[in-house]
Amino acid sequence: MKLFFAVMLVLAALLLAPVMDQALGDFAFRPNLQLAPLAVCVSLCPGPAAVIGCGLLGLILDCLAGPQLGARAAGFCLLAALGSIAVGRRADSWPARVAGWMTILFVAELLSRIVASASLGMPFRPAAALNAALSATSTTIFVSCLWLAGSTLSRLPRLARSNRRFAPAIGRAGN
Amino acid sequence: MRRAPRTRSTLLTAAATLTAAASLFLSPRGVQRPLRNAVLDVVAPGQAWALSRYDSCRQLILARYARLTSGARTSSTTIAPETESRLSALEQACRRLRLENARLRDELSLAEKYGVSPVPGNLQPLPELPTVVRAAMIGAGARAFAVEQLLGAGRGQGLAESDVVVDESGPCLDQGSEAGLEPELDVLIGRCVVGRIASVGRWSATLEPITDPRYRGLAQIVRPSDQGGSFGAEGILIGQGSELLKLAEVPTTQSVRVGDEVYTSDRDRRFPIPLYYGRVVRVEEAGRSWDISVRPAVRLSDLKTVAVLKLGRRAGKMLAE
Repeated sequence: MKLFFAVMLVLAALLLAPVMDQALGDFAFRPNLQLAPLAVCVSLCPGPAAVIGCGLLGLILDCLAGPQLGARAAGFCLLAALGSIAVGRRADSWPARVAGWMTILFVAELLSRIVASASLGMPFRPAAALNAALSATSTTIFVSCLWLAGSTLSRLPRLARSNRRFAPAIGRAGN
Repeated sequence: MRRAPRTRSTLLTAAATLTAAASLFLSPRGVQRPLRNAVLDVVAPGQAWALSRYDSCRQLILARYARLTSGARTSSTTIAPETESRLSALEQACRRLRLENARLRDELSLAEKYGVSPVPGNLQPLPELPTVVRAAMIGAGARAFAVEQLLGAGRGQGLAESDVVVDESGPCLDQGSEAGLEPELDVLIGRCVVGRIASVGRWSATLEPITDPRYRGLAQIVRPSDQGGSFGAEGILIGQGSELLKLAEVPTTQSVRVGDEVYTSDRDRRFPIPLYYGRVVRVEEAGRSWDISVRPAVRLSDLKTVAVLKLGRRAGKMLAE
């Protein structure tokens, strides 16, 4: 089920990335939908599935962006492997999770920009790192909101079941 | 307890994926190109569909919002998007038929004047058909990134200035000399002229739109009438840096009126068929020639992709002659 969700999210993110760029093209602080699936994959299905998924995502981004294939694919699968190992070792708390996403997205942004610069034959400038940090922050906020909405929706039936215990008491209070 | 096997399998998968990616990176262009094309064929139509849905939804919402805020009953005057696209298609078909009608009328008048040749003329061998390169307009975000990268790079750091063309004044295309683009090639969308290529880098090119003050092109007026259309005067179409174009060198002895259509001229021989520039919106007398303003058919801000017309070798030779 988690794998299915991860695949659906990757597809939706790839389809909607140009829409986001067109809608928020004037803002530097906008989420990068193409990289958001990296964080989602590592959190939803850490391990070999995340590594393969992120490698495929990198390959697709390579095909969309540059003349040379393979650079992003290699970087992203390595990032997913390290992220998956780190996810297994840390406690499942919100601050740790958000910090993990932020790190993964920042490194992915940096990698992506370095590959773009290298393919254009230009040196990487420190100012691009600042932009990468801005983009990673906004993408982390976006992924956090998405995660929060998803976890709330998945808990709704459980919440409704737990509220049934109070129904007789609420009825008596009404009488 | 389960952590160690999972870590090991993760690392093994990562090693396998890394090897595959590295071999892909080192593989020749001939291997990479089919894979890249296949992925683009799968992803690009989906993205284009999502963008078109977004655009139509946005327009619908904006129209409803405008109707709500104005408070007036505009339902009878507003045009639904489907009707608008149908109208636009009909207008295009009408333009095509009018042009064909004008060509046939021209041939008829020549035949009436000089008679029909008793011997069918030898068909000239057709010049090589022109090919078209699809190019996307580079968005503001991508261009800002490229500008930011270029500003910090200097000649001493090994940057070849022809690798990327980033001209602040002109819009950019995502194809360059690698795709066979050259300066002066014409840029179209459908049957309408968008402009021509100003300068070419290895992976990008700058576009000189028809509204650019440097743009010049030979143009011909086609006059719509009840019987179809007929060819009118020829003139030189000049960009003015504003939203209107100027059609110069049309003598006042020729008749021109508002609503006439302006096409590329046959004598220009740049285009295999006449292509549409726009419609005459203002005509004033200025000495011996008309002062004509033309509204271009294409708005650059509406475009996401364009087609660059590459002439075949023989067609290029004809043009040079």
